[in-house]
Order: sequence, then structure tokens, then C-alpha cells
Amino acid sequence: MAASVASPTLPAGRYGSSSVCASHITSGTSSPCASSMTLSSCSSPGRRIVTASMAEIGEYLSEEPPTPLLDTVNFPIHMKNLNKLQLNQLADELRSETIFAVSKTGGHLGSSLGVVELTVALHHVFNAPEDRILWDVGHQTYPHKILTGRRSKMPTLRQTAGLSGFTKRSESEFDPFGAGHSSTTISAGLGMAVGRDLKGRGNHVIAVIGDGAMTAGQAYEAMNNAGYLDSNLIVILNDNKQVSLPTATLDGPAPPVGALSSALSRLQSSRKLRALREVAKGMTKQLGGSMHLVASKVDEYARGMISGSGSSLFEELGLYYIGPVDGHNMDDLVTILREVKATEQLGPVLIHVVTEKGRGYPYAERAADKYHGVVKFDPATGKQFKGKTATKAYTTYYAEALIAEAELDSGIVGIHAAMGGGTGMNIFNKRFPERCFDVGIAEQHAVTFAAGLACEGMKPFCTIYSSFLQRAYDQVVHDVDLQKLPVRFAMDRAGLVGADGPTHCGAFDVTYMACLPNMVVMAPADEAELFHMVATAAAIDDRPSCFRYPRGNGIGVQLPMGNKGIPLEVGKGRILKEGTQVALLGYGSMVQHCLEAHKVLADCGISVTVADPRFCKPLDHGLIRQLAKNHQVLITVEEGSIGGFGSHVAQFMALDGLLDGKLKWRPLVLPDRYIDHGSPADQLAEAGLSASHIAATIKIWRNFVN
Amino acid sequence: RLHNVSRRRPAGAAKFLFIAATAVSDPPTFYDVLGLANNDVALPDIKTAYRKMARRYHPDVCPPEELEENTKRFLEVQEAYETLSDSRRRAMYDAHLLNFGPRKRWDLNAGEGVHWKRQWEGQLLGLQYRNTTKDANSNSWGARMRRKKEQEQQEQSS
Repeated sequence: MAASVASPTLPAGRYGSSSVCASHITSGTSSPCASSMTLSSCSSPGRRIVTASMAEIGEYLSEEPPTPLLDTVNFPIHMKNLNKLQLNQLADELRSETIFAVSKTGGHLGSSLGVVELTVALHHVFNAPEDRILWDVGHQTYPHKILTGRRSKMPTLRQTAGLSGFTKRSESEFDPFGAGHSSTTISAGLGMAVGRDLKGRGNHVIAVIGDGAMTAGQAYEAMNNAGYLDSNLIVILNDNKQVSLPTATLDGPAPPVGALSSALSRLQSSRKLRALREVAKGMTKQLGGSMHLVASKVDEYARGMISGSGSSLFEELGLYYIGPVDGHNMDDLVTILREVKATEQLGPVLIHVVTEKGRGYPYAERAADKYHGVVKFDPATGKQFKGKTATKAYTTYYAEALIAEAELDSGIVGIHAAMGGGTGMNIFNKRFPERCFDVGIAEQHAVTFAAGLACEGMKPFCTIYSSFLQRAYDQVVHDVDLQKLPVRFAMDRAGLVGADGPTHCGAFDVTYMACLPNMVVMAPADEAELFHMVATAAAIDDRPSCFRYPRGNGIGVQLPMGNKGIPLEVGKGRILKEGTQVALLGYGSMVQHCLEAHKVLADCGISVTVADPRFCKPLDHGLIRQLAKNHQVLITVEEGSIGGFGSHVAQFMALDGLLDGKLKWRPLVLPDRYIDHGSPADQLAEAGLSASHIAATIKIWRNFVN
Repeated sequence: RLHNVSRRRPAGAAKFLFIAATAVSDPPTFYDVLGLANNDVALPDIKTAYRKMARRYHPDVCPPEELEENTKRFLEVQEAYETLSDSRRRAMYDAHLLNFGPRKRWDLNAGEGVHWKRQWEGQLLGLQYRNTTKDANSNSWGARMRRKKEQEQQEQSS
């Protein structure tokens, strides 16, 4: 699935590279942005672009403009009496407020900018919180949060004890459903609609879902059920042609994945295609030749929409289809929403709204990834403040390791679920475009698809975030493990993940993978170990295997030569530090914290052994016996929930009689509650798994004994 | 022969237009695509330029190895001509170039906004009409609940 963009060979355009933020010119409240286009090159009369005293090269404002209308809106009720002109002004102010807020905190920008008008229209027409407005995934809700009483808290976005980056029920009554994973809104919305009907209430339920989230099966399960039940439900399909994340490959915009995107395009561009087809037909006739491939290409195209009945996929499922609608035209949106609101015998309705991700911020509009997720940036120039790190992210190392394996073994293929950037598979895709498969937001399909590949002797590496793999658990059990198919699972974002919070936290993967009878489960202590584990997984060809690695950068160890790891001996760990009194068995990257604790404790005179078990399954029995027999205390440490590594060690020790003597065994795991979003250091402290916590656990034992 | 349509899904051509329209580097304007020297050309010149370009890139007259590339170019030429030959669309496109430059994606549908509006206005009318008859002919769960609610409201008000 190559996505390289062929650069046009025709001469470049005359107008240069300037762009204009139109909205603030019309409002007149602040001076417009500078433009690199001089007045003399404007050959037609019309809008004049005035240079302002902003940054020389900047194409946006450098200081936040005043927001007089937004200042009067604390809650949606304050928007009820605004006229159309004011609604548009509110949208402009809301847009600049969003841009400046995200520039200071980082977060998801492009998606929020695409739904500014939609957010304003929804809150103007409907009465939240009685009317339930659900946002799929929730990363586009920054404007929604600003309009629902949380504007003053925006500086705390995605920080410890601050606003969540997604919708959260406990945060506000205007967030009726929490989100983070995609494609859940129609299901939840239908549940709320049916609950409303059973209670005899009359509020509205609106579910906003993107075209990317529409590629997941659950959306169809929900629409199918909605069509059957016929309860009043408004589904808004926010179509911005951005199906995978980030919304680009390394070379440029990614063409939308899957057949659904072409179906949506057909709905949008029906007349254009018909016209093209007619023209092509005419041209070919003129040249007197026979029909040719282009005519057939254009024809294939045109055939889809000229189906006479006008029914689309959604109508087949039982939803009344309205659209396409220009999602940036406030008038259109308000008109349609008002009409839909007033219809009593509604049933399920789907409004197809077409928006542009990143709209209103020139840098976002032009960027290949539409500024989907950004760190702090300078609004005037769009430059993000990305720090330089000495080491790369584990994600990048994984991609490099997989490439090195794939160079030598043509059976290795990579699979991911619409997360090319987040999983590093964009890097793999650039090198092996024929061997990288993006299935859209469809983890269940990805796993069974990998199982099918494994049946044919391929070596599939299913690269899915730990928390997203939860969606495909039965496929892992039933399709892969039960049949002992050699599918490799690379679980990124294992453990705590920082600002994204509990929805993206990979707390459970050790538990749910290690309990499967045929699965090999391992975790690298550092990036070099990651290279070796990728090689190990490639070499394990008779059963499924998995490995987990955290969000973050490597610690700076020497990488294997040529990025090619050496397969490890399965079921064998290693000792990193020799000691006598206490044994610390740290699983995965936790062992680094154990090494830090070792230093602290050495100063206190406690002799600690630090071991890296490498494998949770099969366990290194010899290592555990050795540690249990030669130490007074054995502590297992993992960044996972109960039921994982520590439990497997305890099970083994109990059956082996190692717990019948004087050994004290203590497990350190993530606490039995969800850790809120925040900085990684804060989260680790909250979880009680930092190096000082580990050291404190041991000191407490020592004080207790003495 | 045009009517012997193949049954395959039309993913390919849509992909080309999408990529052509959203290339990261500075894309050519429609005037460039037709090989016109400046934007102030009149309609006859546009027609001449279009015929020349279309003949150059029409897949019927190209060697097989250039087929895919030429198809792409041909579709670009088509889109350019369709926009520039219609005075209303050309005016909108010129305004778009003036305000945003060639890099900002120009959507043929932006000019088709009127078509969209007509379409959804019709759909809204359909919704209004349907509102009077929908539940009468239906025994779905939702219809039954709505009828029950209406009954209860009538009982309360009487």
C-alpha cells in the first residue's frame, strides 16, 4: 500500500506560498496576519491583504485576540439567543481560543478545529446536558469543553489533576459518556436513547462519530441495532477523510483506507464523477478511438453513485440519511439540526457532515498530519517546541528492529490498526510497502487476519497498543492461541502512558496474555533487549508470542550491530547486580527503576540483587529458585495489574515449595484503581512504583526485621 | 462499450485525485495544468489549451507504460477545464487562489455547495413528510414506545 506522492512535473503556481487567516479580517477586532505575498502580484481586484506588525514570516497571530462574545458564554444556555452573525463570530473566537490553548499545553489540535462550527451549532440548537451529546474518541472536544464551563481550566489540559484530554463523566455533566477508544458512541447513544424511552423522557441523543471510527465493526453493530429498534437517535458522521493516524505516511497524506472511504467519497462527489464520465466519453468519441481504460476507470467510479434509488449504505442499515452537508457553514448546520430536532417520529437519522481537519489554522491545513497531535507550539509560526533527545523512542527502535528482521526474512509482515505513526509502522511501510497492512480501526480483524497469514506460513507482527489489543481479546484466544498459530504481538504503550490517561494505559496485557496456555510472553528491559526480543519473536515459529514495551525513549545502551538482534534463549533471564539480602525481580522496563533503587539501598547498607527475568512465560525456574533460596526477601516489580508477572512467580514458588521456608515474598503491581492522566513521573509516584517506592518497601522490611 | 461496466470497486481513481489535490509541496494551479501563461485568458484560449492537453494525455494515444501516469494527468486536465470553463466556478476559483494560494485544497464540490444544499433541503422535506406517516405503518420497538408516550401525554392532558 504505497503512499508516495508523485510530485507534479508541471510548473509551480504563481501565487507563492502564502495563506491568509480570513476569519479575523472580517471580525475587525484584531489586525490580520502577515503575508509573504506582496500587493503587486495581486492581479485581480478584490480582497486586499494588509500586512501587520506581526512576526515577519508568521501566517497567524502571535498574540491571542480579544474574544468579546466568547467571554459572555460560560455554558450553552448563554448561546441560545445568538443570531447567525453572532454564531459565526463565536465560532471564530472559539477557534482562536482553541489554537492558543493547545499551543500552551500541547494536545490534539486538528480534529478540534474541524468541528468548531459543529460544536457551536449543536450547543445552540440542543440543550445539553439534558440533551445528551456524545463525542466519539473525545479528542475533538476542546471547543466543547470551552463552551461547557471549562474554559478557565484549559491551561491544565492533559496535566496531573487537570482537565482530561477526552470526555469524562466524572469531570462534567456535559460529558455524558467517557471515551478514548473509538467507535463506541453510537452504541452508547442507542443505549441512552432506549433508556430515555423506557423512562418516558423527551430529551435528544446525539452521537458524533468520525469517518475513521466508522471503519470499526462496532459502529455497524450499533447502526444495525439502531435501525432495528427505531428509537429516536441522531448520528452525526464527521467526515474529514482522515481514516488513519497520523493522517499521513512519511511521504505525504495517506489515501483513506478501505472501501468505506470510497463509498463516502462517492456520496460527496456524485455529480463531479458523472460529469467526468460524460466528458471522457465525449473525448474518446472525438478522437475516434475505441473506449479505453481511462473511460473504464472513470466509469467504475461513476457507476457507484448512479444507482438511481439513491440509497446508501446507511439507509440499508435503517438510518435516514441527510447530506452531505458543509460542516463549516453555520447556517446549514443550524437549519438541519433545528429541523431534525423538531421531528417527532424521527427514528435513527444520520447526518453526513463534511469538515476539514485543522481548518482555520493555515499550518494545520497544510500539514500532512493536519496537526493531529502536537506538543506546545508557537501560534504565529506553527513551530512545535520538540526537545532533542539523546535516544529515540521505543516505537522507533521497534520499527528499525522489524526492518532489520524483514531484510533477511521475506516472510515477515507488519499489521497495524490505523496507527501508522503511533506504532512506528509508517517507517516499516516506507521500506516494505507491500508487507505493511493498515486495516483501519479494526483490531479484531487485524488479529484474525494475522492468524490467516500465519496459516500460510507468513510471520505476522501484529503491532497494536496494549490497551487497544483489549478490543481483540477473543480473537487472540480463539483464533490464535487455541490453534497455536505463530502470530507475534508487539504491544506498544504498555504500562502508564502519561497525558492520555487511563483509556490508553496498558495495565492489563501481562495478565491477559500470560494466562493463555500457548503464548510466549516477554518484556525488554531496554532498547537493546527490544531488538533481541524482536529477533526472538521472529524465530519462534511454532506458537504465538508477544512482547510489551513502554511509551518513552530508550535509556542509551549500545544497540546491536546493523539493528539486527540475536534471538534469546526462551525462558532464561539474567542477573544484573549481585547481592545477598534482597532480590528484586523487575519485569520489563521496571528493572531500570529496580537498578535505581539498588543504588539508593547500597548507600543504606542493604545488599540487593537485581534480576531481569526477560520472560513471564515460560518463567526462568532456575533463576527464581536461585533467588528464593539465597535471599531473605524476593520482590517482583511490574508496571501491570494484579494477575500478571508477580502472580505467575508466586504460583510457581508455591508449587515448588519455595514459599514453605523463611522467604518473604512481596509483589509490587499497579494499584487496584485507574491512574488519572498526568506527567509520567506523577503517575509513577501515584502508582507507588517509582525507584524511591521500591527502595522504601525494602527499608520498611529492614526496619521491621531489626 | 462504455456500458459494459466492470463490477470492481473504484478505489483507484479516487485515490489519484485525492493525492493530486493534497500534495504537500506547492501544487500547480488549474491554469498551469492547462499550460496557460497567465490567468487573464479568455474562454476560447482555455478551450484551445484544454484540447491540446487532453490530446497529449488521453490514454488512448499513449504508450502502455505511461498509461497510469497519463490517466492521472488526464483527470487533472479534466478537473481544470471543468472549473475554468464555467464562469461562475472560475470566479470562485480565482477568488480562492487570491485568498489562499494554490496550496490550499480546492474542492470542486466547494462550487457544488449549491447542489449539496438542494439535496439536503429535499431530504429535510422528506423528513417532514415522513413525520406524519412513519409510525402509523410500523410496529418497531421505537414506534411502539413513541405511541405509548403520546397516549400517556394525551391521558395526562385530558
